[in-house]
Amino acid sequence: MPDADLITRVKAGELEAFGQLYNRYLTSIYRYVRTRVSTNRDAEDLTEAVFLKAFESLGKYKERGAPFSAFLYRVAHNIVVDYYRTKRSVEDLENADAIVGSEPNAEKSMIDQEQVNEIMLVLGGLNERYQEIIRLRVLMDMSTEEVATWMDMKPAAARVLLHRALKKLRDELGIDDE
Amino acid sequence: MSDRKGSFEDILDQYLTRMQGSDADLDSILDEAAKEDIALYQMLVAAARARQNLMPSDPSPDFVRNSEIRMQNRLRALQKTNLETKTKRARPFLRRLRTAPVIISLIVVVAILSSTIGVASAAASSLPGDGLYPLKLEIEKARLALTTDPEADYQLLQEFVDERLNEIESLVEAGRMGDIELAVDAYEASIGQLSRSGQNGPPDGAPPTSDAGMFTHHVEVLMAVQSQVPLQAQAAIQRAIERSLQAGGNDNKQEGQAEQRQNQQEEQQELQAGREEERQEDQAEKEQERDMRRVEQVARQYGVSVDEVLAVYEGICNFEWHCVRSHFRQGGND
Repeated sequence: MPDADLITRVKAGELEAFGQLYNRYLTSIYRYVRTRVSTNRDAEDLTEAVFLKAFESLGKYKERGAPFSAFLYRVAHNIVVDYYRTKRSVEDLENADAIVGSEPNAEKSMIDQEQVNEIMLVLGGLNERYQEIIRLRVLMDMSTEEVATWMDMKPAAARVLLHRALKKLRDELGIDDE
Repeated sequence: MSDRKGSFEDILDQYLTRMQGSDADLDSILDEAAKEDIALYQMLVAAARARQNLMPSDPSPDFVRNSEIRMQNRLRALQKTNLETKTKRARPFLRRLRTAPVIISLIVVVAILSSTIGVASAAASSLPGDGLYPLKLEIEKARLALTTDPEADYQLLQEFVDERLNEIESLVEAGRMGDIELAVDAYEASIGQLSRSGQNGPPDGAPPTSDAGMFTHHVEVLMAVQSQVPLQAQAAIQRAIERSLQAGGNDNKQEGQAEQRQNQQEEQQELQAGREEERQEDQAEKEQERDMRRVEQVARQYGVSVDEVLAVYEGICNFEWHCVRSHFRQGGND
């Protein structure tokens, strides 16, 4: 069933319809949140918060050509921003070192883990929009068209932004000197 | 890059698409890119390194299994709360209708004085900036004057503060950003009135903890509203947030509220700075897009490659388009 029909049913009070939307977008929203927080646990909590907030705000949601996934992404983005707002700067700095790395993958060696931390720090040092497009296009394997819709820009602009972001990432990682 | 079509960005994009998926042969893709262009290769290496190290996992099966049930329960609770809140909001008005004939009489009198009952009704739903809004405030004052019980007074004042918040929300929903300042002024005035009324001690001697809860809710609502309004209205909403925090802090007598306000303010400033940065980036992107369109146009017009046009534009022409056009018009022999 298309998203628009499910949304109409949710607005009419059918919780089960929201359950279908939840199952449809759980993985992509979780993966997005996971790119931004340090532990699986935080990602799980925030993912649920995203859907609760989306449910609460659904009355105000109007399709206007943008897909429901883009609306969820916007909610997720705001929830993550709020999450970091409540954690103060010192804790944030600790987390910045530890994002992804704080919950080491048992299969990763110490050297791998260092590499993860290094790249995470470099990525975290780029400006927010560069980080965001790398997360969506490179880490989440989304298509340029999807990324453009989520970030509310034209595909051509998304390609330009991605080019600039990867150029910056390359420079910061010192790959141009290799 | 001779055998591929499109700008550098397009080609980079095509390579990234090929790199997606677990079965992509990364080594051969990178080898191919290295032969094509060294900068392309380097950017793809950066992307590959980020992917290899930072690609997020899928949610665990346990989480997927349990969270749906948990979510359904929470949604049911949320739906119930929303229904109760709506009923609660509707109830005081009905109760007033039943228990306060004097107030009704007064409203009717005001309505008659204003020529028609419809005016009073329209005034009740008016917003700051509307012609009937002052009448709405007068009706509220009259209702207040008619109560003799301090507790009822206090409740009315709380109700008015809530109403002022609703007005801010309604204005934002209606896109009337020019009236937000007025609404925030009214909101602050209402809070001031409530605070002054509480200075003689809460009505029943008990600490007004409901105010603290009310203002916490207000701050949440205002922050949500703030994220939806353009930059010029954000400062006004920030003023309302600070006033609300202050009122909540006074009532609750919690220590550290000043620090919290300071933090909120700093965060807000950071957020605004971030938004400004985003705006500037957007502008830069638009300019870059415009440039790219021009590059393609000139390339088509003079039958040369996009790279050649870019080289002239960024090189001898020092980012001057009239120079680029004149260069190619003269056969590119400068």
